[in-house]
Amino acid sequence: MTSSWQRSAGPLVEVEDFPGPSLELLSSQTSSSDGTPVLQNVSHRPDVRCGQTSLLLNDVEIMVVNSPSPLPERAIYGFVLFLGSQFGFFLYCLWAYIPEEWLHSVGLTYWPQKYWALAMPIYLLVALMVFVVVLFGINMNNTAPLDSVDNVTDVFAQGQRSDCYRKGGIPRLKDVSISEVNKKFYLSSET
Amino acid sequence: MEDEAFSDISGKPISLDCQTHSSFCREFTVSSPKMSIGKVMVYTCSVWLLAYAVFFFTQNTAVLSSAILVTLAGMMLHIHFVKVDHESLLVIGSLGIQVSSSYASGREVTTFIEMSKIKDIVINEAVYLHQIIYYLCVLLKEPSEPNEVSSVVTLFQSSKPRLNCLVKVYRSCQEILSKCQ
Repeated sequence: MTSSWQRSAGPLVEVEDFPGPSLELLSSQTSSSDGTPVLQNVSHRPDVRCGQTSLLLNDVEIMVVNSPSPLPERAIYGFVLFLGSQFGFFLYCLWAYIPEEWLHSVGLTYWPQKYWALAMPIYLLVALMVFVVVLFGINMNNTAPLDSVDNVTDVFAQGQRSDCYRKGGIPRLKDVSISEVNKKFYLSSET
Repeated sequence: MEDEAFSDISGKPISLDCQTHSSFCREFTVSSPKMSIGKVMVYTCSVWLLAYAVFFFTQNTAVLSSAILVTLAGMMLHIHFVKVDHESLLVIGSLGIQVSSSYASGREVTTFIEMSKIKDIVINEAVYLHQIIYYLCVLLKEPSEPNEVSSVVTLFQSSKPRLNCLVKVYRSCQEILSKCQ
């Protein structure tokens, strides 16, 4: 197995090429000034089935990363979906254009009325436009007005305990009141 | 009394007037820009042209007279209820604050909040339609629970000034409030 340097943004690691499709996932930058890698014995094991790559450190798997990179399987799925959707559209056009008598004569009697060939796309488009407007409106409706207490504090911030911490310890994470924030921003000696 | 170039959140120029009546009493007045005659003319002409177009097709003279009445009544309601001329904030240490807004028709709406109910005057940021704006607000507290904010009163909400104006008002208010609370 040969080790090779590959260009991308990431930590300086050494990538070992495994037999199989080569992927540019989490690979290393170009070599440092003296050409020595920073970490030893870190390798990537790509899982071609689901686009994940796991980081092996000293042959112990430590991290699994989902990546959206192109894979042959994904290309096949995409092409199948494309063909399927084109075929579905062709069938829909067939049903929409062929007169009812011909369909009845073949034996296909229990199909929706031709009215729906036009109505369904129009319903979908109008629903899409109304959805956009309604979503915007619901968001605006749910935004608290300027004179609401929810813009300043809420139940959780008011219920937090201000217990004292150990000397030298990390203080508990809590909400800083708006008065303190204002004093810090606007009353400190800044011009 | 300084008059730097302040503006509101949409960029229209406003003016701030600070008056120090005494060491514990200050008054801030924010004046909105006046109604421009051009805008009034544009609105009136568009409404009347629309009415004339309707009259042209329906030949009903009631449309014309009703358009005149609608524009007159609309303008009167606008200057009486909507158009704010100036808003003022009067802070009297250990007594309270008085918030008043006066409309273009001369009507004045005044509210007084006593000092025992006031927790603090702060600059808060909130979502307003499609943007996030800074606004000055008074945090009120119930006398029985001094550590909790019970309600919020916004100041200068018709002439929403920008941050530089708010910081000036905030600093002046905090000088008085820190002495008298």
